[in-house]
Amino acid sequence: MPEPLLKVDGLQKRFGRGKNAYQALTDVSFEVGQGEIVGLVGESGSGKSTIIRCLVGLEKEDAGTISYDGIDPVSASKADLRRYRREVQMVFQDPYSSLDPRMTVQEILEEPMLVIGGFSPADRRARIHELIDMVGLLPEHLTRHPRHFSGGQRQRIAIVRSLVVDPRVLLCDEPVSALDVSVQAQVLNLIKDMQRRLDLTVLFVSHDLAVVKYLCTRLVVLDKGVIAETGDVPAIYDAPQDPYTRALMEAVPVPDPVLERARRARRLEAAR
Amino acid sequence: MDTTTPLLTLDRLSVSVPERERIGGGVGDLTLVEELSLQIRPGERVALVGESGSGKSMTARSILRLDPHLRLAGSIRWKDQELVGAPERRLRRVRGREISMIFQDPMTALNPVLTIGEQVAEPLTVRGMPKRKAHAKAVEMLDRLGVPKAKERMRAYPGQFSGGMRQRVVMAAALVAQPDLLIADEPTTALDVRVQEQVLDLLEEQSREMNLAVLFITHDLGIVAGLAHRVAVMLRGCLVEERTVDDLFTCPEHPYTRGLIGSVPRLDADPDVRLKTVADYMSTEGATTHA
Amino acid sequence: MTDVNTATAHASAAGIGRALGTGARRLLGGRRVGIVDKLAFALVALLVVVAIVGLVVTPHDPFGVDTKQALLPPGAGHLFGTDDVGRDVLSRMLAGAGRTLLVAVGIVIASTAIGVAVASLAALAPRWLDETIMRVCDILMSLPSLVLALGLAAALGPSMTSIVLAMIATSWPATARLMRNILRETMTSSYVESARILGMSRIRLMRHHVLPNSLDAIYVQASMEIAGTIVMISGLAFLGVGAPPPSPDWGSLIAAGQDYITTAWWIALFPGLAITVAAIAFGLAGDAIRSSVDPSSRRS
Repeated sequence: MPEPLLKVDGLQKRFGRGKNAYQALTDVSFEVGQGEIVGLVGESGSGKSTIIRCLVGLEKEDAGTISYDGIDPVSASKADLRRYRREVQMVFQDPYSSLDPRMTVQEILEEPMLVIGGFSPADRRARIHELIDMVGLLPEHLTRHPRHFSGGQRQRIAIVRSLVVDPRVLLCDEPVSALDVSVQAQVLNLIKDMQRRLDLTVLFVSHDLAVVKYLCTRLVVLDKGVIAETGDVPAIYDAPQDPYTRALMEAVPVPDPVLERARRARRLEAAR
Repeated sequence: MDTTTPLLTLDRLSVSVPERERIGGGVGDLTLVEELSLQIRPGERVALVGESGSGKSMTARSILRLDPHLRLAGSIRWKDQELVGAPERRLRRVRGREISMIFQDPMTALNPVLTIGEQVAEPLTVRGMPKRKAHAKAVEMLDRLGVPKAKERMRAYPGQFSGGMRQRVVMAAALVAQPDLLIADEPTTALDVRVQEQVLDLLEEQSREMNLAVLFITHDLGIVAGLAHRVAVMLRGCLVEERTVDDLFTCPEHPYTRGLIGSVPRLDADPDVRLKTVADYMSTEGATTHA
Repeated sequence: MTDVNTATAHASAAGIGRALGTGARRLLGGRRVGIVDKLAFALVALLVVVAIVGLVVTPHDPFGVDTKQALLPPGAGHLFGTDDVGRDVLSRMLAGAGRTLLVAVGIVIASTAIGVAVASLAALAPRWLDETIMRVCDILMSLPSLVLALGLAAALGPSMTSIVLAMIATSWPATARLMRNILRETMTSSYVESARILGMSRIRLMRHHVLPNSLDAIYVQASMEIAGTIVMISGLAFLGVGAPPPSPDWGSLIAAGQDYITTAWWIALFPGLAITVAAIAFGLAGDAIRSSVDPSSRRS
């Protein structure tokens, strides 16, 4: 594995109090190496999104440490925290709620640079134009509001927003699960391309093992807040060790009628 | 070719929003579905596939006329009656009893203040079946759909059920009156893969056992491969291809269909081979698409 | 010639109708405007114009006592008749429109401003402060505005100021509670979170993202409140909490006419009708704004 860039160690998180308390994460530790695309996989309630939300500070972990390139965001100096916020960016799941409906695309894309600071107007212009060109948007799109765009286009805008400040790490929280399958393919290809061109390190949260296989190099499987299995993608897909991983893998539908019917027959047979 | 009489025949069905109902203005009627023809026979499972905005849901909803402000043209023939222009009274007889429908979100499809039992038995009690008998039938249906301890859970409230269990309850309510056709509008989109598989299996099983026809609406061609007999593909309000499921997957004709199949990530595919997109197919054939 | 005149009249009427339609439509975010909505907006516009003009110009002097003209029924000289000291009822109503409608609008603007400010504070505050502010609002909401106004009037003497202060004091907490929940909800949307991740300050978050996206709800809340406020201040004035005679606000006009209700019904009836019409017009206009903002009636 390459040099670890992002480390999560002993992460614990509990939501709620008393009887309704719910342990979202139990002692979660893993590393993400420079240039890797790591898939964080699990069903709803597995805690996969909570990890990302802890990483960006939207949730506060109960215990455990996060470290990125030597920076622990909890105890970091102001300058280090600023660097962390710039270099670790996030893409949200729902492109319909992640763009401020009252802003133009231009304003949305400028915001991160204005908040982080240190970008001249010329820098801002140049970065926006360079990136929208890379993702296949046009300069005339900049003056429009998010409502004029389809889900796929919105997710491109959201990806550009996360990239304008030149991050090294991209945290993706199910960025394609709200999209149609046909649009999902375009966004997956886009993430793959951008990762290569900009040498990004990606942590990709998903519930879809087929998507993760296509995109990721390594895999962390989460089951009810506990890591079930980690490893390189080819190894795990060839021989999943954990029964939960195997169950998730077996449930992925195949777009082939003959195979699918055979699979169903086997399942029904096994149930009997 | 199947020669049984069709249960449902859509003949050049068009659905449009009249100008005065258009939200955000705009001139002229807005066509959502254009001259769509489709037949469903008893016990047949048909998948209607397309992207959001393709008109697939509108087609399904129009069969039961769930959006009364929309304008329908053409014909919807159900058994021996015409549903386009039929009085509301007649549609009510068809809805729920002969044709029922389940939706994407099992969380909002159930009324949180009524018990599971009341909701599953409702389609029967509403038509005057005695409470006790309806109750028994509801338990039987929940049991068939694999809800454990069905009898005890009749008194539970939807809030006490997980997403997958709720979708089973929704299905039980939809099937308890023994309809001839079930319209399923993206019923698994909000579910985890393992639960999705269970719901698809249940649908297939019930369809076979009850000789239930199913119209399955989805954006994901991948999940209908093992379920549907026939697949109809919609693009921008029009039907572009309709074939048996085997034909469609082995030799899709329309470039858009090929795009839909190509864009499904597969576990058995080489990750280094770039995922095809609809645009790849459409542009090479000279057609345009909106991303 | 007459034909041309009627034609122009028709054309300009149609023009005004269209202009109203587009104006209302812009206000309603592009939604198509029904005839009832149009009528409500037209009435509100008319009432506001009348209220402003009435403060300056009226057909007769609204305060001019002329006992020889007392208790004249509605007729050519005095369209709505005269009161017990010979003042023109219509003129007094016009003069009173501003003292009723504009005061109501002013009260709503003030209480909304206070409510939104408190709500923003609560939404940004740590949990304990948020809770405290909300409990204080609950306590204030439980004070009946009528009793508070009567108390204030006793302390300050009956005046319009007492009514205004009492109304503001009792209506902002409800706005604050509602707005705090709306602001909190807007704060959980991903676009606000995405700005938070970058380290944007909470005050800037509130100003840039949260408040602008909660404006719709603020407008709706305010517009719905005007109708109730009109009725409320008229009621308080009727009870004698408001400005002492000869103030022509509508509540006082009804109070002045109540002794003559069997003999000179017009003194109380016309102001009463005015209150009803104004409350309905503002109510319908508020309703139209609400339904245009309601996500269930709007698709993007």
